[in-house]
Amino acid sequence: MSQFATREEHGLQVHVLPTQKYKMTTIVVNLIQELREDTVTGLALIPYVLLRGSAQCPTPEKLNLALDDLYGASLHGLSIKKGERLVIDFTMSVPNEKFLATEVNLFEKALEILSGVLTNPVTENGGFLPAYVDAEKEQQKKRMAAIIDDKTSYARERCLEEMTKGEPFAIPRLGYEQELETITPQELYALYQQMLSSSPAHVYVIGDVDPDQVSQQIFKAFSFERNVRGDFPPVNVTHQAGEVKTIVDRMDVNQGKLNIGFWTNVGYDSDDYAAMMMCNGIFGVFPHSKLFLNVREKHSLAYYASSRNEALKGLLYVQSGVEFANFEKALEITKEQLKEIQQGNITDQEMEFTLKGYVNSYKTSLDQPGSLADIHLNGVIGGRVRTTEEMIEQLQNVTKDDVVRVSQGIQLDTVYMLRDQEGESHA
Amino acid sequence: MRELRNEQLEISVFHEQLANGLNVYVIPRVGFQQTYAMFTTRYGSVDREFIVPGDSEPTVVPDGIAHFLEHKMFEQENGEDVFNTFARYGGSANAFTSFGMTSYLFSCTDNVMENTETLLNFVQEPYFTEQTVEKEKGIIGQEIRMYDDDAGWRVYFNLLASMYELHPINIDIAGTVESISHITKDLLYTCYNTFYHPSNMNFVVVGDVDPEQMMKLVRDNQAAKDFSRQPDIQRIFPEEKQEVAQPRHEQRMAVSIPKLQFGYKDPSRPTGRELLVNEYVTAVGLEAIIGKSSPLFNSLYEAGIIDKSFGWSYDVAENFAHSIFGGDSKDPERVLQEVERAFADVCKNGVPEADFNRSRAKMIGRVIAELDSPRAIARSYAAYQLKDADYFDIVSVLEGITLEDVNLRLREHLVPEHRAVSLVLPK
Repeated sequence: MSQFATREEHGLQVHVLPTQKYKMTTIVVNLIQELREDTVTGLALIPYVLLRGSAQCPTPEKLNLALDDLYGASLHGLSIKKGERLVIDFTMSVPNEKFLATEVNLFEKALEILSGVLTNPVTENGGFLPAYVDAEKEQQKKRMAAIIDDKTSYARERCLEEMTKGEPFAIPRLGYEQELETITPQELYALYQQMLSSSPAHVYVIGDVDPDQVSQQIFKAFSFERNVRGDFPPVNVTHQAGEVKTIVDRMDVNQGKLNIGFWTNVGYDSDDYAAMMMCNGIFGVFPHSKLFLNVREKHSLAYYASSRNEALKGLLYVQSGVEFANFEKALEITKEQLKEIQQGNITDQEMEFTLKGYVNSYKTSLDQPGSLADIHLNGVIGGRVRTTEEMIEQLQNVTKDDVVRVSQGIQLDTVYMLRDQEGESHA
Repeated sequence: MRELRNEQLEISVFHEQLANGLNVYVIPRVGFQQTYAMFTTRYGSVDREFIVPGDSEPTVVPDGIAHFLEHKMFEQENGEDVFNTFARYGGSANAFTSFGMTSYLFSCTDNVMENTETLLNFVQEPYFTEQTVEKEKGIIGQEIRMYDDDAGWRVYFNLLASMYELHPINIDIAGTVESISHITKDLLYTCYNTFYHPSNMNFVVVGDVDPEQMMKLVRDNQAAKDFSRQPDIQRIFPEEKQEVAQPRHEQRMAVSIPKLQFGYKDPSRPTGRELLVNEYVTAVGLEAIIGKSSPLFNSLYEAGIIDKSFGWSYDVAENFAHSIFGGDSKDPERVLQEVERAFADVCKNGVPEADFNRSRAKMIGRVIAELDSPRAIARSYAAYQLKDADYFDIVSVLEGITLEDVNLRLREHLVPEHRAVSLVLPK
């Protein structure tokens, strides 16, 4: 029921999940590229340029009109950073016509629009349309600048950037503004063609569809010459923390942000992945987790204090919003809570609640087409695809000793603080 | 228990009003793993002044108390945090407070009956002490500080404060650090006793559940509790003028690009099905004139003065209504000018028929898309029920809307004197 039926042609994998559960049909196209300094800026720009229009719908207005005609079908495209890969993602969803007063096959029409956008852009002189490229460069510059507008995510990105300095993981998702200035429409088009022909590609279709028919439609829509190169350099997920790095950024803010980065040295493909998930769950994912209970409930220091396991890079980070004066206290409590786990101070209840919490979220993902595709893609990139059922089974097999063992490999690396302009920095 | 069947959408609602006045709705969604349940009271941040049943004089409570009460409901007399009770049954619990409602909810994939009992019981067993009330002020204080740094939140509330002179929608939902300092245990009990009577609440469950069995559980649970009849709550709202309080508000913050929101205050106060008609006639009109496929949106986008985050919304309740437009813009003044000109033109010449048709189709598609999310169904159903409207009527309402309705409505709504503008500008 939850399994994709997969078919492959020319390095294009089509994963279909036929189900009558949904009133919409979802199509996700993912093209995987290496995260590199010299290509990230262009790759991240490409989805926005493609969404300007295709040969069939050559302006944003015409493209949106075509989507609206399919009862407001939605089409989104963007780049996603997954570990040290950059994924170009196009997601489309369209209503199943059986609920509507129409005879049109909406799915077929949607697929036409999507393949047009992806494979048949508007071109001029062997490049993208210069006006489109220029306009999207401007929009992209604004997106880059706007990263500071959301203080929570800004602090998270800054912490991880400092922690992974010198490694591909530190490359920003949108790339670099200086690079953006110099890319020509021809260069961008060449990069696009290379992306289209060389990327390992995964297409997911979830809805009331016939797997054979839909796979053939997709192979047909993407039936150009491909020369797939999936031999990306391996991702380094093992690190030895040296002296703890403390970084303080100052900005005009009311609330401080405290972000703490740790190496876990456990990657997505590791046999210990499930144990590290349990460890992270006990530490800071749920309202019953140690961070929430201590930083928030016991000491009233923060509204949020949570941890996240980034297994595609073998790291884990804590984020919270606290008063500047309470930075040290919150940091101490966070370290203490990790030490508790490392010393085996984990109750049966914490194990039980954490397991149940994860089982609930994995089962819930079976109701969410986007999550199903995302979990599968993480497996592809992380080097080990696990079905929801397998993942639940592995979590169930984790013992307290496993959690303690993997927790002892966690090392503090970076303490990052975002604070106001006043006061002394206590770095 | 009676079944309300919507043949077109292939969806049913099972409804029963219990002896204590509670309205219960069970909405089966076959094949979904997740069950989503919401227990909602018609009580939100705008309920600042009211007459406690039995009193003769009105009571005025501190700003932010409904939200504060929501936080404090999670504590139980037995000392166990209710999150733990849910965690034991693999349920993921949460709550939120808006202008007109406070909702407590869980989602789960196992132990549906146990989680349902937990939700019904904790919301009906308040337990506050002076000590825990004081402690919560620290946590909520940090939540307020977090929103103070959130430019998107600031530009929104500044706009509401500019539109409304007296109506308490003009205050932040969480209140201020100062206003919550006045909250006491006794005030919380006063609000609780006034607004958490079952006759002022609804209970909505969406998932792959047996309606008969679920209804029996809720019925038995409620029958075992002693609720005496409560007369209607008298809520007191100030007389709000039609014109805006001030046409413009500016704030400077640490952001990269100006954030613009503007909107029109709307004197319409429809209820029931008329509320749906009003809301969706307005929505179809606004989507047609400034949605992503409209000539106006595309000319602003081409000019590089808005990005794809630019959107519109329309909110209508018993005692307030307004539209809001906005997004990031490097030239907000020009956006305002262009929009003003285009709106004046629409009021004069009307919406082209083709734009009307595609806008309506899109709105229908949007409603259908929501039906794939138990969460979205529960939230929308509960919110509309409190406004005496049936969420599943929206598609038939949309199908009955005419171009003439839309043109009339736009002329009535887009009155220049009813417009206010809010800007957050970079420092």
